[in-house]
Amino acid sequence: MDILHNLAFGFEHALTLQNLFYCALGCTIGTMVGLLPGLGPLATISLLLPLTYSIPTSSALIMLAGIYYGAQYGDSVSAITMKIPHAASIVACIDGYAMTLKGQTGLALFTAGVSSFIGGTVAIVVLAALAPSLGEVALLFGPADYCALMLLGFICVSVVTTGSVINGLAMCLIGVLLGQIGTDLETGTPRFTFGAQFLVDGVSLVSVALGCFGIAEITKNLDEKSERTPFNGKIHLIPTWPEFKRIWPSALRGSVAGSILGILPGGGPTIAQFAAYAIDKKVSKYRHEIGTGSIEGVAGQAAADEAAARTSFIPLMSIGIPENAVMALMMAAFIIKGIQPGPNMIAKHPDLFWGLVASMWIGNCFLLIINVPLVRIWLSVFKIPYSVLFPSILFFCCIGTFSVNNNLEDIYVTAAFGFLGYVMMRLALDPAPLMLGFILGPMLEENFRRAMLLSRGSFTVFVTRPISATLLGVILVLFIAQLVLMLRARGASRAGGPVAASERDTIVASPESARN
Amino acid sequence: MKELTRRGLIVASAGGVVAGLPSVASGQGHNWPERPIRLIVPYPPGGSTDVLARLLGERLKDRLGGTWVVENRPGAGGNTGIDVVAKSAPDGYTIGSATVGHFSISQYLYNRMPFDSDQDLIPISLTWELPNVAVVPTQHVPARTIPEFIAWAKGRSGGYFYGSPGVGTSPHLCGALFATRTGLTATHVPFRGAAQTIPAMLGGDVQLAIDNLPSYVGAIAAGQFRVLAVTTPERWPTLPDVPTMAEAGVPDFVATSWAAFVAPSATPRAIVDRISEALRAIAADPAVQQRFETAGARPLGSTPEEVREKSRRERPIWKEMVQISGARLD
Repeated sequence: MDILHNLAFGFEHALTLQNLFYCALGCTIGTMVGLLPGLGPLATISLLLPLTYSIPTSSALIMLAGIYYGAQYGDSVSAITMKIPHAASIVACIDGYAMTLKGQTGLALFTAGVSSFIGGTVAIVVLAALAPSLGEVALLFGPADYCALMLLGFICVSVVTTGSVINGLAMCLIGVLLGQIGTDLETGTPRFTFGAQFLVDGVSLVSVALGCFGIAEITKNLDEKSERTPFNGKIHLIPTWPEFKRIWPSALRGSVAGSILGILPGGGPTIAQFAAYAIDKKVSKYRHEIGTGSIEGVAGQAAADEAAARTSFIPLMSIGIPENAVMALMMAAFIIKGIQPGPNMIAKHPDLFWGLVASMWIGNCFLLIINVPLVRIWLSVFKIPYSVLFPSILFFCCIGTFSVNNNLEDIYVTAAFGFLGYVMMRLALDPAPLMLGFILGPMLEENFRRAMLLSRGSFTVFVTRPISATLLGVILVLFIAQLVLMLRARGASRAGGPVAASERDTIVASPESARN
Repeated sequence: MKELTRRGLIVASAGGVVAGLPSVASGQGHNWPERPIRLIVPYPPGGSTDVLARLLGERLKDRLGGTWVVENRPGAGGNTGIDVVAKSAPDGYTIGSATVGHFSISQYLYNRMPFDSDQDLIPISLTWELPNVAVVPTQHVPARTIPEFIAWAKGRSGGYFYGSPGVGTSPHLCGALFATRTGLTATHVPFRGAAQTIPAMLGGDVQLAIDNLPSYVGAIAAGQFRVLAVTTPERWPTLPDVPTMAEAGVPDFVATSWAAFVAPSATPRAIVDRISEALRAIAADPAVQQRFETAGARPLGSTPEEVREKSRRERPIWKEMVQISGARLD
């Protein structure tokens, strides 16, 4: 079969000593970058770009790719153990950290590692089998379709909220408002910038995520007198067989969601994690546990994250369009090497593409080894007393924020969000829906206005375009289903039955307010 | 005794002169570069300015020695990074990669600029230029020449859509000028970079873009886009069959996107001249020319005065284009 022939060709390139070395190097750097709070693959790749001048193109590509998808493996770790997320591991802060608080850190880390492996494997299969034709899929999505997709994403708000749903909605809208800060794309007018130069391009996602989650959590830990470490007892890495079985369905669902969303320009790991979480919440056997520290909450996100990172290479390699900032850097690496990425890159440079696919498989195995058995070594860092540890964590958060734009003011912004995050935590307000609103809101607005511009003000474009119509239909079906369930539950409770699940959601019972 | 003292005096004064030489010399740039030099690129990594600046940084390292580190400082359409250059120490260790926008366009777009390109910066040399090309997606627009496009567009009720990487960018200004000169009805659709414009055009939503060539090279080579005209005064070497705007029937339409390296205005002239000379030599290197050509640009070298002259010459043109487009960024 053609694919096997191509894969053999790819492995021929990937299994040279040099490429193996660069693959290992990239994966290791990527994992470390993911583990460390704050620093992300984007900054690391742009720092290491000059290194690639002197090494052959395929080795450079393999190394940079290793950093990118390696970082997705590692970023769950900092989210699970310290509640400090990267852009792609926000959801892991919810369930992963809850598992740490319950003393199940080892299980959470094992789940994240194995799910990332599953996600990576599925994505590689997708890449190998479908890459040439999948590039075209990205072109089918117009602004109206993206708008509908973002609307579908807002349904996830109730899913990621732990605690009062009304508060979650409010946080989501605050996130949307925060996303408005910056310059309007269509008119060039500055919004909410108060004349400050550093706000002209808006607030960076890294600042909000680090501030609301990480810094707030550190402040809270310092506030409480008890020693808080991820080691509530020993770390048990190996799960029981039933727990292991639970990982698979969730990870597979996450892989599929991640593979699909990774192809869409503007999609990628950040959105894929929310999608996987939402799907698990609707479909999983253990959905009542999601939010309080369940395996599914971690597995879905880790798999989706990893799968999306790998399939995001597809638009670049098959039609020459970089779908996010990291892919733009890869494209720059190509151009610097004298290769012009464009359509048919797979046909014109098969050694690059198939070598990359083969090395992704090698990297996947390598990362599984680093992340599961060897994670104890990373975790021994936490044996350091917290009073010594947290300045280092804060230091890395500052470096991470600074590395985005090399701008000092960004650190002040992160500090401001740290303060805001602490206030939110004290008031039992959940930051996860704020992140969702912050990510989806601007994309929704931009695509909606562009769709209106292109349709000359006609709303019918949302129903005449097939993808948009389908997505809006799905939203309608979900809405009606939820309504029917609620009415039926109310009917049952009126008949004297137990309080139904849907009504339980509206009762305020968040753990934070109980603790305070 | 007297001899010793005299010898001692001579040795001491010789030693003093030798010791004083480095400080005198570095004031005039003889020992430069001693530390890493920051090459500030005011755009995100991966873009065409970033890639081309990195290529030049490599070559400058070979010629002048020292370490050249590219630092990306994106923000405010490129103004943040150049502002950093303008306000940094004028010791020859901070260089910026500025574009035509910083010299000749931004002052008409913004109410207030954080720096003045005439007062706060000294240009070192022109570095490259790239053309804007009028491209249409082959699948959706049947026109093969500008007159055909005009005829086709006139036949469409409501006119056509043209894309750009944002309000106030040269593709926006070119698109607006084109519509005004040809009397067509056109609506501007801003995107975030060519990576968003290209899929929209391939999907049929947007029909025209008069955008920077480097972003479209791959797609043009693959036949997805057709180039109707270039906006340079003469035909572009890698597109010999494509007419200029004037040849295609739209006179007085010249708009190249050029770039220049700049330094804070008080930087010692000796250092500026050394870098300028190196850049001129690099631009004449056929290997460099070939590299830039694949990327869709052409390397240039010039004296600092030539940069000032060029920027002043182009200001009235861009001012008119900004007024026609109605673009305003605060």
